[in-house]
Amino acid sequence: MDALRIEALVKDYGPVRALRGIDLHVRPGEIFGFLGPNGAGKSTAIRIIVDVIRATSGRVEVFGVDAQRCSVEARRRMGYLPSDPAFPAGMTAHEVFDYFSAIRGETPDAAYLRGLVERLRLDTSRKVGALSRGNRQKVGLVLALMHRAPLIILDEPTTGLDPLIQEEVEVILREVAAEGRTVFFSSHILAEVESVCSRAAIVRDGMIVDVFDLAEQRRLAPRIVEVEFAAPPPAEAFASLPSGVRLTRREGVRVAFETGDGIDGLVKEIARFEVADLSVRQPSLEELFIGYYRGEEQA
Amino acid sequence: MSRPVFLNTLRGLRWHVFWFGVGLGAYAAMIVLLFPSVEQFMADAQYPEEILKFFGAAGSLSDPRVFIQVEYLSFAPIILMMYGVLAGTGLMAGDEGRRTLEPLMAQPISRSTIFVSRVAGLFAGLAGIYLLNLAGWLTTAPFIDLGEVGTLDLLAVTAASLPVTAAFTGLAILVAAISPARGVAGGIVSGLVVISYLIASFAQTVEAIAWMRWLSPYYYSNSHGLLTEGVVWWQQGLLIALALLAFGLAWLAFRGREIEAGVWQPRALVRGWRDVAAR
Repeated sequence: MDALRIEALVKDYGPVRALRGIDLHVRPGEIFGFLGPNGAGKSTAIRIIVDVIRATSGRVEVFGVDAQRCSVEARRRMGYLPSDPAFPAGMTAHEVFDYFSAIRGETPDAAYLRGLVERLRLDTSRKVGALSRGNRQKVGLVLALMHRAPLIILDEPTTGLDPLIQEEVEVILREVAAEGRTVFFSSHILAEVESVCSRAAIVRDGMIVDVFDLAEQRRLAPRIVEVEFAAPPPAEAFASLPSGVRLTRREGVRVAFETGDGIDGLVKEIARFEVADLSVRQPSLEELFIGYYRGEEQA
Repeated sequence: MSRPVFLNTLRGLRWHVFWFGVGLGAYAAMIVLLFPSVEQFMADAQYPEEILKFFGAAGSLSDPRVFIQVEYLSFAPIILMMYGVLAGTGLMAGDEGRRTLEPLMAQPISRSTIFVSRVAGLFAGLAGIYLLNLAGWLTTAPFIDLGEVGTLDLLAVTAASLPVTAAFTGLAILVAAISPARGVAGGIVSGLVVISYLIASFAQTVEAIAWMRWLSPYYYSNSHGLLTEGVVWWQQGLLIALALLAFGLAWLAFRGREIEAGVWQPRALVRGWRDVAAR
């Protein structure tokens, strides 16, 4: 059974179609990235999952439970961090945790809750109305995580957090997945998704344009070979390259190639000239998928 | 009903309740304490008949029943209705504007439970105002000669404002549930309160528009004759029916509302109805 299953999800705001038929399956125990530029429809889809807004058509299931018809049962299986969360201003963070626990009718594991608070360096004695954006985000993160719900839905969870805390959040999310729980992680930052997710979907203009396994994607991805020659190679050099090799950049002494299985031929081709420096690396997720962000077909 | 949501609603309204209650209590006490000083003056005073009619004076203001009717029931219902509008529009739309509704709705709690708990909190607040108001009467009336006006009359005069307050509170929640923001809903329903008050008052004065009083919910609160002519039960019943209708529609609209959409949502009523039918 999928942790989260979305089928043909459509959402119209008047004449504007915000979601144009999203299909998605998230498996239990994975950290699934929901990636896309601002305005792509990520938050709209998430808010339908949580039943804060209603779909025009389509279906959402959380562990087999219809998230629209049986929304209370579905939400019992969820912990949720909204984008830019806010809480009753007169409460301290501690009171917020007590309040929402009382509503859920569940008492969180005190040691786990204390651990989360300490690791995120959150002062729970201050009124949430006086907290900065980053600290409110921490309150929201603790709230989403503290009941150990089987599905954690996070909408841009690291916004406003400093880099050290962002790193700690990633560690916590890996621990959540290691416990067999599922994380659905929305972000517009590719590097963040690359760092923490096992699979990801790219959403653009209200549609899923690709769903991919990050480890598999990296394994299959072409290598980028960047060479600095002692002197600029002649103009006719690299005019005909071995099969599976592509010239991607040429600026004076610096030349870059992309290759999948043609690395042997490329090395021999490069060796015809004096090499000052050479590096071989895998492209980042950003390099692989920036085309989707720009609305182009993947190269 | 959710006890934490109910208590949190009450907590959010506590200062409203305190100040509205203390204000009305002080106002009631002032009316009682003022009566002996103005009794003789009122007997001699020659007010224009239209002014007396506007404020619903069915007789001499030296009669304590008329005096309390005019002084208290001309203003207290307006103040209570303003509480209803403030609290009613703030109940859900206020939280939505502060973005605190979404984390609440993400919990395993139904929209109906949230609605019922919030409305119960609002009415508990209204009961608090009523009691503080009553305290104003009861701490002063035993020491002043109010003629035929007894404790039960004072209880009735205070309670008479509750059905009309409930009707406008329900309307406030309903309008807030289909409007883009709390401010819009507050403006509309406050305007309706004022229009309703003015229609009821002018219709008493101007013969040509006397029929218009039937269009004003405020008129049905019997504010112009409660102590002198008694409670008109069908009118109070009509207000309670109006209130129930408004709360019922508000419940449907809240069930179908798209949170933080920032647009008019009349279709929320249809979505809410379908939602109820589907479940």
